[in-house]
Amino acid sequence: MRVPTGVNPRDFASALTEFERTVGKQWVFTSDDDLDLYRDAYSPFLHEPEERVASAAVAPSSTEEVQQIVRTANRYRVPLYAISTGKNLGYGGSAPAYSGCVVVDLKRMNRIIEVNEENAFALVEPGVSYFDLYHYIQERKLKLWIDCPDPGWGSVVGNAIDRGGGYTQANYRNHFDSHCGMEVVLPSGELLRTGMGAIPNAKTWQQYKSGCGPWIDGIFSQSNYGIVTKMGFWLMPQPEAYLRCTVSLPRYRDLGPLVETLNYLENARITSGFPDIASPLNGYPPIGQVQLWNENGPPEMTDEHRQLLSAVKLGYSPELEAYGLKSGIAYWELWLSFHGPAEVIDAQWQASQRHFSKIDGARFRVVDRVSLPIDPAKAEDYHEPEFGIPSLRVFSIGARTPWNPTPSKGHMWFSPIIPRSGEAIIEANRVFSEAARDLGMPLFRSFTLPACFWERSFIFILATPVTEDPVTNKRYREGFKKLIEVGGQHGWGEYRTAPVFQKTVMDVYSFNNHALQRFHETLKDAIDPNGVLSPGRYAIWPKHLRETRT
Amino acid sequence: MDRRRFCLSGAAAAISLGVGSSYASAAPMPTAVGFADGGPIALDTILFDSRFASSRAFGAAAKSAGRETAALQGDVTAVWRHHLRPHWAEGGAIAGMTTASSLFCLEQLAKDHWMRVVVRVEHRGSPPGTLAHRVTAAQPMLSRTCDALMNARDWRGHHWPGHEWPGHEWPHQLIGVLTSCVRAKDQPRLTRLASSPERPPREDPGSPAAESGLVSWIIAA
Repeated sequence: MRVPTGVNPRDFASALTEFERTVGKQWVFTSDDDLDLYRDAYSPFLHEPEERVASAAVAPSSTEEVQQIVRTANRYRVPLYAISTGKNLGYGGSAPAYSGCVVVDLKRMNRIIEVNEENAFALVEPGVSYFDLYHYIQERKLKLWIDCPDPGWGSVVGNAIDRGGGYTQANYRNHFDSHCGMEVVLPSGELLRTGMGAIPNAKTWQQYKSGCGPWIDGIFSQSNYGIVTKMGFWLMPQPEAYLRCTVSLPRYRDLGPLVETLNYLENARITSGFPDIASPLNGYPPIGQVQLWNENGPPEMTDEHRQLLSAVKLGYSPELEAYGLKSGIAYWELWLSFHGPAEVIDAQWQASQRHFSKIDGARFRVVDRVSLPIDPAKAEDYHEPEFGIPSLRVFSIGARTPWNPTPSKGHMWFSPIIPRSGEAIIEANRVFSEAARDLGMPLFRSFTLPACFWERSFIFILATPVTEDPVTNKRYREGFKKLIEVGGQHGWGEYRTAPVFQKTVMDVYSFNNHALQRFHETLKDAIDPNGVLSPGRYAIWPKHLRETRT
Repeated sequence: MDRRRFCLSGAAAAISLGVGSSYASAAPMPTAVGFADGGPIALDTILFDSRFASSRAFGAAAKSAGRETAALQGDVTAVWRHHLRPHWAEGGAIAGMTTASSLFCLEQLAKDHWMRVVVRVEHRGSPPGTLAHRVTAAQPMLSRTCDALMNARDWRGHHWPGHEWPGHEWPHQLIGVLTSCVRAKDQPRLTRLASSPERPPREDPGSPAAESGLVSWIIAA
């Protein structure tokens, strides 16, 4: 039997017996074979002793069982680590942040408690996946869309709690922002409801977010202050139509005006679909086209083009630009999408063109006009998440193909937030490409464009591979940490990260002698004095483990 | 590298198959027998990837053995959504021959039902005329699978067009052993190499030819 460090084996055995009494013997897992299911499939410690592993796992089916498990953990000082569906690949997966924790696997809590079409919201438990919610809505022919990440197999609650994002309209893409109300089991085992849910028989729990007094929902995201057992989400009414268009710009210097114009149009809500910046001249596809490129192969490139690309600096050379002007290949291509009644989205596209026309040489193209709901037989022609359809096709990226003959064993996501400007894109490329080159890291080897998941900022989401070789993996882990520090020196912080990097990331948030970290620890000591909930998650350690971890 | 370049780059290590000694045995093709430590695993469905000749042969062998089959082309979404999701809610083992990335997706989805890969056979092209297979399973499936692969139809040394060769092609052999899999939940899973002959392409251009990177597997509780 594996026993968590610092826990008396007799106490651990007693705790397991109580867990069995709470959930039933068949839902407590202690064999090596079963605990293998809770390893991080993309662990950056592949084949190494430092891989984070669970000592046991327990799968409750109700909030009451979760409460009892937490009370038991407190009695015997057994550390727990809650997961929803354990699909957080690239950010830690189903493995605990602290080896030896008992994983509390919330998969069995998969009830969709309510989907309200009239007010466009849903209330779900943590074991509900995007596929589950999508199917629920489709089976009942409700006129609602979900917003899902790619792949769509994860938990609606879990993804939002880790502050993930998606691909439809701006106010739904930010999954934590689109939530409304939570139910949380606190480290004491007590049950709390946030927002209007704090009123017994609340009538607006999923309609008004903040309730009254301090709005505490945020502290349950990317933290270890509670186990979320229910969460409400605002859903998008099914639009009548979808329009996707491109704006192509011929010159390198157009990047700045492109971003400024996009910012205005997004902030003014003239466009709110997922914007996607590509560079055809740099051979850099839009995110929405990547899986299609991988399935069908990238567009052909002439030898001349390929040769010119090999000599660019920060994505530019005058020769490359001249080649693009001669060949009609755009330097930048912005993909815009619009959702709504046809007359409205046509008007929004007209207004967008008027603004972009101020950039000399701008060209415009309508790519798709789609009446909704989309014909299911045609959905595969598109990047399905942009239609609120969960998919697993993204795994074609990184799969073995003639043009990718040596796929990796997984990846770790490097995800810094940078300002929303063309200047910031170029500066980040300069800084990170120099650092990555010095560190031998396989990132920023050519000009890299950020993604626009969030309003008001850009994000890079770049994969560092996990390999079969522990020496390479160690080098990549150390390089990854250095890149985080380099980002911090330039005022750029990560938005989310795997447990192995959480201390390095949180150390960057060091304003006023790490006041934020100290506040996190004050809160942790107050509400989880026994330190049983997810120790180490986002570098928040309980007192009894803190000194050995800093 | 970022996700957009992922598909265009050849970075990162491949899974390497150590070319060690082949499994040497003249054992006859195994048949289903009762084993003291487990009963048979009932397979619901056999998946195959219709893009690859070996996998199509695997699927055809399953179908001719009276098994339910489902085809995919890399992406598991449709098979998952329409077929596996409802079946797995009630528990049900499956087998297949797919790419490693398809299996990866299925393996992660199977974890939602506390199921796992209990037999894994990674196929690799080897010196011309042979195929190497890395078999990971608990006993007795480990030995039975290796035996079945080693006893596949042997083309080596035979150059008579139209001659009826004895035995079955290796995908067919594999179906025979996978569909009679027995449970061995608490036994350690071990790895062994096996090799089987490959039909020379010039003999029959339309015949199954191995494509490197395919994996045959069983997912069960």
